[in-house]
Amino acid sequence: MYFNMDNWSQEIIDAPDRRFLPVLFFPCLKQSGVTVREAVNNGKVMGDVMKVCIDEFPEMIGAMTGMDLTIDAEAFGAKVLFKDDQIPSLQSHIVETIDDAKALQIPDVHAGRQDLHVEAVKRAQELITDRPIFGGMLGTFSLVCNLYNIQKALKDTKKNPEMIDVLCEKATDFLIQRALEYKSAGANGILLAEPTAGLLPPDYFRRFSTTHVKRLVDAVQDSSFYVVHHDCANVKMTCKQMYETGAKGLHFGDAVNMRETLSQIPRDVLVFGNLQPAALVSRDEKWIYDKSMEILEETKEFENFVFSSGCDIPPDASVANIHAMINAMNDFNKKYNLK
Amino acid sequence: MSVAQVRQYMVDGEGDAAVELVQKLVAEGTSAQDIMNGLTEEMGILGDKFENFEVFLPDLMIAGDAFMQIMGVLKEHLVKDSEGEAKTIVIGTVKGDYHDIGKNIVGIVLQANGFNVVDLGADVDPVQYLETARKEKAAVVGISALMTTTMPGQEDFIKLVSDAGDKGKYLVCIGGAPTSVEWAERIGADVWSFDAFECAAKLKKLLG
Repeated sequence: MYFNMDNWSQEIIDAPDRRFLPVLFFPCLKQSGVTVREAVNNGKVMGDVMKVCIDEFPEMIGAMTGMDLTIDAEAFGAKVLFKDDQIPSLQSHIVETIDDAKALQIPDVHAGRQDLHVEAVKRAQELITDRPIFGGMLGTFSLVCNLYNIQKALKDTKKNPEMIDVLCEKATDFLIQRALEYKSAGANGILLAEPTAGLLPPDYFRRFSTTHVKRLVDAVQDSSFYVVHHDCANVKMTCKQMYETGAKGLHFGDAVNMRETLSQIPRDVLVFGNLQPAALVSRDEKWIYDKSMEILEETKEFENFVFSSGCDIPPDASVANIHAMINAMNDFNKKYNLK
Repeated sequence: MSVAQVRQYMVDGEGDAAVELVQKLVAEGTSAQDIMNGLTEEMGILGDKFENFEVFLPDLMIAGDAFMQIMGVLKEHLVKDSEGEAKTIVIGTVKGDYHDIGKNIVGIVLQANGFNVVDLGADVDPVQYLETARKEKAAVVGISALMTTTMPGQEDFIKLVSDAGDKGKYLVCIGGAPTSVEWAERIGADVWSFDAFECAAKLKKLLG
């Protein structure tokens, strides 16, 4: 379904009430009667679960594919471990040396399980026609960490930066191709997860992430396709670099103070955040409600704020807790006569 | 040629140069404990700078690698110099969880604070923690979890400690991004810490 995403974004900014778009997919598997393993290996199932999410939480202003962040490295040849109750994890890395990095071939758009996400988007479009659909994928430096090794990659930003440059170029070429596939399939945008970049100092963040993510944004973002750039690390010193990518949406985790972060970002950019996802597993509804209200109150003056989880919500999160987030938002909107 | 230079080599990640200098200093009579104290102080400074966004994780990891390299040659001299035995801490990432950056940093910072660290790596079975704690006469077992789905493994270990009659024989310390002080209280852990530096400070206080 076509949406003018600039209008979508502006409508949110102009609206008096606070809106809700968590990174939510996996907690709805239970209602759907499928396992994580099934959902991340079958595009139709993933699309069906996206619809279940919207039915359970109609306040969501968009639908999300499952944030399975192994797909990108898997397409390059990395091995993935699947479990019934856990999000897939990588079991191998495919780059050891700079020669490996130079020899690395950019995979075909159909390699690995990439088609699954395309199929999920197509299926979701059949079922969800009243709101945008976002595809999930990695950002450049995070993919580099998955291809190489996170510890080696972080250290080599200082000790062997030329190797990281080579990997970043190739990762970005691949991710552009992947984002364009999402776009061709009819997705209205992507959520670009770039959490490991947030572990870098500002100058390295710019070199190994911002420059590359900007290239991706320039290649895919337009009025029909919206990029949300996510980083759940403590990006207090680097949220400016995230803004420099040109992504029209920025998404933050609970490692940052939402109000402080919002104050650094122009008001025409949508800013999403930031309830701790783990709390949706380990805390009770009252705690979630109170914490949600605290976030909403402290961000009250920012019309470009969209209430969200700070990262992907885990499969074992309580559905009642997610409803508590929504209850808090509805009460907040009522309290200030926003709706 | 001084302990200050060793500290700088560590910060710069120049492990080979640091080891060479440490060997010279020790041969010329500098106390291994003085060098160790200098490294501990430098790690503390790095920790403060990390909290203030003056250094970042890659800096800590590079300095940590150099520190471990230095410890490789310093350890034997420290045993000779030391009056008392260092307390042993067994650490690892919980069963089913392969994340180990945080746990590795904790291990380095604990060693820099004078603890003897036995690192069991990632994906560690609760029984392995228990057996190692007994074998090493550990003062603390530290268990990291980086996923909500693997956090219950911390609780499993605490139950195992109780069932095996080991409760009170060593402290159980937990940490990891999704954990919290409330979670630690709920499962009966003795110590929870936000990061490696807080962990070292708390354990130093508790263990004296």
